[in-house]
Parts: sequence; structure tokens; C-alpha cells
Amino acid sequence: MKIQQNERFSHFKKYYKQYLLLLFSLLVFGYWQFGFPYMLFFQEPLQLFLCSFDYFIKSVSTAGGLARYLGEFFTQFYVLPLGGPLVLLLWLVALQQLTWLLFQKVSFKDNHFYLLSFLPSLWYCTILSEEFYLLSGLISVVIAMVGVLLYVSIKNFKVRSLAGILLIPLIYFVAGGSYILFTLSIFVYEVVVFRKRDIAIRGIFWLCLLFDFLIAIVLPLFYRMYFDPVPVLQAYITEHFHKISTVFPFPVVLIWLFVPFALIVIFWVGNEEIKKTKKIVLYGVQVLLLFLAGYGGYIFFANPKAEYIKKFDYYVRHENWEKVVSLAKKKLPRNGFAVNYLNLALAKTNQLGDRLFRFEQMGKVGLFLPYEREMLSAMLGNETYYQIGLVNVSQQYVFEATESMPDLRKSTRSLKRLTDVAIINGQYELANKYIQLLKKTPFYKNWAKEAETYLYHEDKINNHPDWGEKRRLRPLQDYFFSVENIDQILLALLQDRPQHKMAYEYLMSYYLLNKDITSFMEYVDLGYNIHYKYLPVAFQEAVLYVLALKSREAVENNNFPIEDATKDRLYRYIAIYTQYPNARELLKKDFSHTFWYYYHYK
Amino acid sequence: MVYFKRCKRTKRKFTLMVIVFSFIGCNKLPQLSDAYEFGHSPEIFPDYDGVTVPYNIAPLNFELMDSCQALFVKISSAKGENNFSFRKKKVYFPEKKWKKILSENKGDTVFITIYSKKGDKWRKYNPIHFFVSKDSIDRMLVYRKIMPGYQTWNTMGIYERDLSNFKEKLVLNSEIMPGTCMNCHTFRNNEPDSWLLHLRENFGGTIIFTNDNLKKIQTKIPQTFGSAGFSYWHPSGKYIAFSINKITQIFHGVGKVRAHALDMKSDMVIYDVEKNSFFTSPLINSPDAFEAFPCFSPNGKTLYYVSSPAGELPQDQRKMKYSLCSVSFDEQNGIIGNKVDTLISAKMLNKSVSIPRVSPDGRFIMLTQLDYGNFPAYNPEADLYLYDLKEHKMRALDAFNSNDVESWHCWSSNGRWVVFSSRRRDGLFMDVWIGYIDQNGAPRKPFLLPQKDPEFYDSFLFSFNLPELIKEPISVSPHRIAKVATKSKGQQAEFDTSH
Repeated sequence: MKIQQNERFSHFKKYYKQYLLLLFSLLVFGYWQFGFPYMLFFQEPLQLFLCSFDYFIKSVSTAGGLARYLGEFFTQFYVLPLGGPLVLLLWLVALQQLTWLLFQKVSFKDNHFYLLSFLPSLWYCTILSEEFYLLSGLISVVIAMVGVLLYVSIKNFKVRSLAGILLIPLIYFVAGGSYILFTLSIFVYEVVVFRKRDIAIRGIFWLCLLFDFLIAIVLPLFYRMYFDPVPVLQAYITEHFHKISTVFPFPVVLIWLFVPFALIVIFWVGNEEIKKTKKIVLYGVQVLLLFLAGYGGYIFFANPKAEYIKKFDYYVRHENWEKVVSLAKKKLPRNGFAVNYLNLALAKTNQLGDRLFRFEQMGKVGLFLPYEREMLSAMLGNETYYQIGLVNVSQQYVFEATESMPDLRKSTRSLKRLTDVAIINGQYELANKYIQLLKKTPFYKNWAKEAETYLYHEDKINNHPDWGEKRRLRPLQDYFFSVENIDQILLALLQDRPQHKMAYEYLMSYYLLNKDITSFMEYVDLGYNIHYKYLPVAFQEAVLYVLALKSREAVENNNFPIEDATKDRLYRYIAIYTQYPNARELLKKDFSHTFWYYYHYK
Repeated sequence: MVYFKRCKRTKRKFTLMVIVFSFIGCNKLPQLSDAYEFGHSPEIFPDYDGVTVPYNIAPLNFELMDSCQALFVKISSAKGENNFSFRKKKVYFPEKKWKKILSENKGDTVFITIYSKKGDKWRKYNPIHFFVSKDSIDRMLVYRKIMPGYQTWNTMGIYERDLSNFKEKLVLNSEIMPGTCMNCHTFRNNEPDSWLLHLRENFGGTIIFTNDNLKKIQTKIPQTFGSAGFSYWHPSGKYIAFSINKITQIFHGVGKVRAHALDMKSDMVIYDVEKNSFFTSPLINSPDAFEAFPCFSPNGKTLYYVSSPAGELPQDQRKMKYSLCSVSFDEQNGIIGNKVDTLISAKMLNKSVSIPRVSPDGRFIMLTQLDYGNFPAYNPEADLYLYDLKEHKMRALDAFNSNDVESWHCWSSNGRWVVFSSRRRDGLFMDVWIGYIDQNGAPRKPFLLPQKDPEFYDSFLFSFNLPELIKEPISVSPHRIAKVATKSKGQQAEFDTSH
């Protein structure tokens, strides 16, 4: 038994690095695959990666451009079911392995800092949970780490000095701001590690380091002066870490500082003989650091609520309306975007009028998102307008979304929607412009090629399930769009398309959510054009409510297509509402999903 | 022995060079004698067939719209012949050779004969031609690049393009000044020595460059309802005429015209550059009329502008029709005349005119005619017209116009070239077009601003706004402009009541 235990222990001791790596890989993969997959699905179409030589040259011609290019290239794979988690795993493991190799360079091969080598990767894994942090930042750090390893691998001091002088500008142009990590690391290596081992070199040693530092300081200034006139801080940091280029990527800077700092610690601690008790403390500290990085990073950067909304967005983009409704049934975040998507899904599945009050509503924002001068409200908000047939408004929102992109770049998502609208509106030259761009993207080229076959073919477009439908739904008479007057626009649309069920239900729902009973009653008759057997339940409730204010006879003898069951429920509601002071509590259980309850208590 | 070895090596190198050059050079005439003749002209983009170009224009690179594996292009004229071979269907003329061809053919017609290869067969198209004018165009073209949008923008920039090649230089952009909108760059008489541009939102103000001095001013004064807007330099450089506009946008729900810009209110003022003060006159600053788009005559004695009776917007949108008016201007004393002449009456025309620009010889006013309003950018019917100040007649510049918007025109310093914006290609993106106009005001077929890559326009998602021609490059660096713009709030302009 003991022999078996010993064997197991020695097996673990021999392969513990592989086991830890496996555990880390499983953690990372699981984190993205099961924790935040929809954030990756959301991120992917918000970029426009073109597979062309021109785009490559244009990308790599800026400081850090190669990191950005690679970041965009790999981000494309997020569109695949396992693509995102696998891509992130690849780069995070690469960072860990490079960190470990570097740790070995400054200490002995089997030193006690293997656990610590996971820290940058783990931290970066959590950083990327915030959607504004870019994969290109991670790639930039990896490139800088490759540079550091290359540098420390050179044994000859003179060759190494020359390599340093060449590598600083190279890494700056290839990886951007992570050249700071490289510069600090080689400085630490020279001053702490190399100088300790060989103190014979003096004058030339300091001169070389000074020269390295001079290059590192002057290079971005030179770059902004002659290549790209960006602000000073941006010239040093570069824009490949955070989508908003003016944001200082402090969490990434911590990694730039951690690596050289860790080199000092490992060199001083790692090369000494360590006693067993000290070893326990050492490993304990590493585990604690990993825990802090992992848990702290999660708390700081991860946003499960946003992930849930992105899940809604994913299913809306894929027009899986049933799934959106079932998600809302499970949990509906109190958030305008989620409610907006839910109502859209209800409308698309012919349930809006029936089940509007089955879910927590948020007023008119839940139906039509106003443009808030930022990307999300515009990009997500366009979906409702598009589906209802207000394609020009959808186009406007997508334009605004494109111009509000935090990274100032274009996206496949907006180009696809702009193509939709251009085709629906018969602007084929314009549509072709977008199509030619999309044809250069590896994952959207098939869609673009297919769309191209529709250009100038009116019949084919009219028979297209989406474009043809939108042509039949869009308004005929012009109006000036303002979200404040959306009811007037829907009324005009209903005048043009009297049988436009979605427009009718949105209009009525709009009045109900605004508690505008007068307008509701004024236009509820428009529903006759849709030939309902019975009015949708929420509308029945609203009509009955108004009639009940007049008399019981009015309720009983009305000409509206209303079910008897709704009338019975109304009587029960009235009985409780009028008799009990704590009616709100009593009605909550059975009537919280009715218009009456919403009207009185929400 | 060594000698023979060297000989052998040299011979090998020579053979290799021959092979390499036979692939790269490709200027050798292929077997074209039995080429199949199409009997029609080729369709190329951009369309350069029949255009007139200045002799100092960049190469007119183009793309053959038919598919092919290779191209052979023969450029011929009375002065000789040049042959070029290209792989695939894009034609890139070498800049030096192109320059030589144009300088040899000033005042002459140049023919382009295209042979395309498909399979093993060569096919020949009928020749197309362009005319090389003896009149040069100003070297630099300044424009703003901005994505056509609605209310929001994030990337924009003002750039200057050397028209004799493909070099483009930054003047100022939103990377160097994040969050700042920049617009309405104007120059005095096509000179880069006096210019201005407005900045809005972050670090707002007006940047004025004159006498090698860069300054920032604040133009909102209590006497006006807003900051200075559209501008025009007096030829002396002492004054700048501004219109002050209150602009709003409306968005259409139906159709291809997605938006309109409305001038809710506008007046005009004149800025004295030295005194940093504004002055005006009730004639150009009337509450009963909207005056806009000022323009001085080349002798500086007349101020042209457009004016419409005031209206309630947006309901009166289609009733707003602008006339072309003028008023005299005394440069010495900075005095605006006391009589307004109406040169083109909107009432008579039942149309609106906008953006008057006088030709350098003072004979013509080029302007945009549109159904209503004074912002032609969104009116597809907006076309360029020429008003003859000698004969007092207006005529359409048919050769320049299309079914979509033409506007924002600018004369070259010699008056023979006009650059203007047009949405004719796809109805959304504004492109720059260059057209020749002779001394009698007769226009010739214009051409699209040449780009190095003929496919450039296929994927370019920005509009070129406000094309302005200048003779030489701007001498101020983007950093210097940004420094002046960001370091101070700017001098507050005053209002001078003594005029």
C-alpha cells in the first residue's frame, strides 16, 4: 500500500507540471466554453478582418500592427462553436510556457516557481472577460516574451547588446506597448542576473543599457513625429490592448511590471537552497497569488449579467426566437436590451399581444431603444426596427453604431445589415460595395457571394425569406424619424400596410406600456384588418378595463373579439381590487401578468 | 581554368537574368497580330474614356471590368507609342513614364488600346482616348475624409493629396485630436499661406493661419446666435466672410435619401483678421431672411451669398428657396454696401441655389441648383450650374452633372479646373471629381480622383468632403495645429459696431 502511495507520489512529482498544465487548460477552456461563450460570439462580428495583402500591409504598418493583425485573425475563429475557447487556450498556454522558460533561464531548470508561471496567463484570462480588452494585447505580450527569451538565450554579451538594440524597435513595431515589458525585462536580466554572474564588464555594460533605454524612450516619440501622429501616451502604450485607444490598460501594465519583478525574485530566491518549511511557504504564496489573480480578476472584469444579454443577442442574430423566449422564462435581467429582445422574440413568434405582461416590462424602452450615442443601443436597437420593416431606421442605427465603435473600426455585423438594407431599398451599387468588402472576409465570404447573386434581380429579392418579407413590411409614405414619435410612425406604417401584425401589436403594446389608454382605445380597431379570432390577451384586458370603467353592461355587450375567460378574470380582479386594502399583495399571485396589475401597480 | 569557371558563372547569371526579365519586364510585344477584335470599347473603372486631364495629373490607373488573365496596354499619340504589360486586369502606370507621356502630349489626344488575354487568346478592344490639357491643375487637393453617417462620427481627418502623384499627407485627424470634429477648411485664393478650419466639441474653436502665424479664436459672440460657420476669404486676406448657421438633421423613413440637413436660421458676418473682430450689416444679417454661403469676387469689391425669406422649419422645408444676391464691399474701410442685388431670383426660378463660387477671372459664378434648401449634400437633384456675370444667364454644366448630388465645387487658381463632390457612384459616398472648363465656361467630361489602386473605391468607406485646391502643400504640421488647438481656449473675437 505504502509502496503504491510512494509510486503515485513519485509519479505526480515527475509529471506534476503536465498535470498542472492540463488542469489550467481545462479551467481556461471551461471558463470560456461554459462561462462566457457568448461574449466571444458577440466580439467576433464587431471587427472586419480582411484577408487581403493590402489589409495586411496596412495593419502591420503601425506600431504593434502585427499583434493587432494576429489578434483580428484569431478573433475570427470565435465564430466557430469551440473556436473562441481554443484560440484563447492556445495563446494563454503559450504565455505560460514562455514565462516558465524565462523563469528557468534566470534560475535552475527545476526551480520552485512553476506555479507562478501561470500567473500572467491566469490574469490575462480574466482581463479578457471584459469585452473591451483585445486578444491582440495578449498576443503582444507573447511576442514580447519571445523577444525576452531570445535575448536571454544569447550568451555573448556583445551579441546580446546588439540584439537588444535591434529587438527594442522590432518588438515595438511588431507588438506595440509590450516592448516596455521587453525593455524592463532585459534591463533586469542584465543588472540583476548577468551582472551578478559576471561583474567584469563595466563601462560598456552601462553604456549599452543606457542606449537601450534611450531607444525605448525616443522610439515612440520618433514614431508619432514621422509615422503616425498619435498622442504621446498612445505612442508608448499603442492601441492594441483596449478597444478605446485612450484608455490606459492598467491591468496589462501590471503584467509588464510583473515579469521583470518576478525575474528579480526568482533569481534571488530560486538560486538558494530551500528548506522544506520555506518550500511550503513558497508554494503557499504562489497558490495564494494565483487565487488572488483568478478570483480578483473575475470580480474585476467578468460580467455574468452582460454575458446573459449577449446570449440573447446571439439568438436574436440567429433568429432563434423560441430560444430567446425560453431564456427570458428562465431569467429576464432587468435591462432594456434584454427586454427589448424578448419583446421582439414575442412578436416574431406571434405572442407579443398575448404574453406582453407575462414578463417584467420596462416601459417603451423595452419596445424601441433610443440611440444613446454609444454602440450598444444603436447596434442592438437596430434589430427591432429592421424586423418591423423600418429598414431606413435600422440603417440609421447601424450607421450610428458603426460610428460609435469604441475602437473606431468597421464591423462585419454592421456591414451585413447595411447590405441587407441596401438590397431591400434597391441600392445595388451601394450593396455591392459592402459585398465586395465582405467577400474578403474568410467567414462571411459565402454569405456575400450569395448576396451578390441577388443584386439587380428584383424577383429573386422579392422571394427571399428575409429581404422579400422586409420589402413587404416597409412603409410606403415618407416620415421623419424620431423615436419620440414612434407611435405616429407605426400608425403611418399601418396606413400603408393595414395587415402588418407586428406593427399593430408593437403600436398597441407601446400605448399599453405607456399606460396611454386613450390612444390605445382610439386605434385598437385597426386590429380588425388583421382578422384576429380573439384580440391578443393583453389587448383584451386593456379594452375590458376601459369598458369596465363605464359599466358592467359595457363589458358584457361589447363588440370586440374578447374571450369570456378574460371577462371572468376581470371580475375576479375587480372583486379583489375594490374590496381589499392589501389588494396589491393578494393580486400578485394570479394577476401580476395582466395589464390591469401593470396599470395599477407598476 | 579559373577564367573559364568565371565565364561559366557569368553565363549562368546572364541566363538567369534573361529568364527573370522575361517574366518581370513583360514590355515586349506579345503575339497580337492575330488578336480577336471585339469591335467595341472596353469598360474600365474609373471611366477615363473621353475625359480631359491636366498634364500634371497622377497616373490614371484603371481596372478592366471584363475578366482576363493578362493585359497589354498600348498608349499611343502623335508623339509615339508606349507599351505596358500587366498580370490580371489592373493597370498601374509607372509614375515617371506617365509623367513623360503627359508632358510630351500637352494639348494633344492620347489613345489607349487594350488587349486582354483569356486562355491562350488575345482580344483587342477599340481604343479609348483622353485629352491632355495644356493647363495645369493646382498641385494639392485638400479634403476631409469622414464616414457618411447621421449624428455620430468617430474617425475623420483633413488630408492634402498631391495630385501629381498618390501621396496623401495628414493635416489633422481625430487620432491626433480624439473627440474633435474638424471641418470647413478654406483657403485664400488657392494659397496655402492663409487658411482656416473649425474645430467642434473637444477643443472647439476656429484655427486661422495667416502671415505664418497660427491662432485659435472663439467666434461665438453675444451679437450672434452661434459660432461662425461656412467661410470665404477676402482676396486681400484681411477679412473672412462667415455665415452663422443653426443646422439640424432630419431622417427620412423611406427611400434612398436617408437624411436632410436643415438650416433653421442663418446670418452673415465679416471677420477682420487683424482686429479679431466681427462686423455686419442688417442687409446680410436680417431676422427676416436666412443668408448663407458667402463668397467674395476676385477683386474683393463684391460679396455674393444666397438668401431666402425666413421660414418655420422643418414644416417649411420645401418652401425654403434661396436666391443669389450680392452686395458691394469696401475693402479699405471694411464697409458693406447698402444695396442688395438679386442676381438669381429663387421665386422666378422656382428652385434654390447655393454655394456660389466666383471664377478667378471674375466672369462666372459656379453654384449648385436644387429644388429647395441650401445644403445640396442630400438633394439628389442638386446639379452644378454656371452663372455668367457678363451675360447674366445661367446654364447647367451638363457634362459635370449626374442623376445624383453634385456640390461643394472649387475652382483652380487658373480657372480652368473645377473639383467637386458627387454621390453619383452609389448614392451614399461622396467622391471627388475633376473637370475641365474652358474660358467660355464650357465643361468637359470630368474624371474621378485617380487612386493608385483602381479598386480603391470598392472598399473605401469614407466620403471626401469639401475638396479645395491649393497651389502648394500646407506648411504647418499636424502637431503644431493640435498644439495651438489644445493649449488654449483661444482668443475671444469681439464685435465691432463702428462699421
